[in-house]
Amino acid sequence: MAETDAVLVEKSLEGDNESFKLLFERYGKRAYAVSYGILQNSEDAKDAIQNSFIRAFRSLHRFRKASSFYTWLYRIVVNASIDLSRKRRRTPETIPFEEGIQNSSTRLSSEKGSFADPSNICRQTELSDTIQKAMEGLSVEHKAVITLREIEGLSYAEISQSLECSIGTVMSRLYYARKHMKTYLEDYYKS
Amino acid sequence: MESSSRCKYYKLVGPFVDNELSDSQKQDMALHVENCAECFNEVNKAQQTGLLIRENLIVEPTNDAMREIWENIHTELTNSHNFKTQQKRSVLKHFNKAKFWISAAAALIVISVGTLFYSFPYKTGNLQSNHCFVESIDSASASIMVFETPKNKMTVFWIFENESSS
Repeated sequence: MAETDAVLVEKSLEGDNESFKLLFERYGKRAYAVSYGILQNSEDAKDAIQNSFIRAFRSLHRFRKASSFYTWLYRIVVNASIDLSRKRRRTPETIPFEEGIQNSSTRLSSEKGSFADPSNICRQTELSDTIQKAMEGLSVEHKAVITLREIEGLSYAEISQSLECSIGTVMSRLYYARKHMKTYLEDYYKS
Repeated sequence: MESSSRCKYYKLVGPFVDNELSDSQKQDMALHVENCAECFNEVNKAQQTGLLIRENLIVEPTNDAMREIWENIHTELTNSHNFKTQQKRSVLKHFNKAKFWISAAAALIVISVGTLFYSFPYKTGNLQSNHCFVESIDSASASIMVFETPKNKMTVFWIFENESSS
């Protein structure tokens, strides 16, 4: 049976590297998705989760076992990503055209179990670019809120805890972020 | 600026889609959405926005990328641990080397301070009238004179080397 997070945290505190590695394997990919949502750049996302896990390891003794390890880790990941975004202000990466087509093609083929229609591939690539552009137009705080809500499915209370702001702030940021995204996605909505 | 003619339920669309309303609010809103084209449209768009973001923004790193990240984390943590141990060791090494000189300097300071405070009455003329002569112990090579200072309640010894011995 898989060991609980609390047990792995306890063992990591005793200096067991393998236990900390298991925590990384358990949550690393989710942490990466959150970080990428905020940073929109794979290299930056890698740096951010690397820093987050190092930071988490060094402050493991401060983790209160009553709460969930991932909620605690979220806060570190989100803060590290926001910090990095402010520091670098790097432009989001653009996926090479061929790679974009390949990704879209793979996705559509796997979804429909058949060869994808080229017009669908183009539309898919265009949609990905539009979403990325729309995200670029948001501040890092708005990106964080929409990522935590739409990608991670966190509740308003959990987002407010992670970002250390009020629920009212979360609601207003989410309202603004959705309104902003809507202006870009108008052409893609199905009636 | 928001349109003033907008439906009063408009602001509840987000919390409704996110399932953040209370049960009674949820029921009210569900009833309202059925009858309000504007809110129905907004709920639909909010749900689709979420779906489009999830479909297009979730990026899963490859296993190789994850392995590389873990290796970097592991190296960083191992190095910093070694660094701390190394730091401790290096401090101890320097302390051992310096131990002799630290001890010598400390002894010198103690002797100097002692000399200043309890300077010999004979040489410096510090022997006050209230220094009370206690006794003199004479031997072939030296004489020991013992004084007592009433203030500090301290005994001062002075050893004279007898001229005949030198």
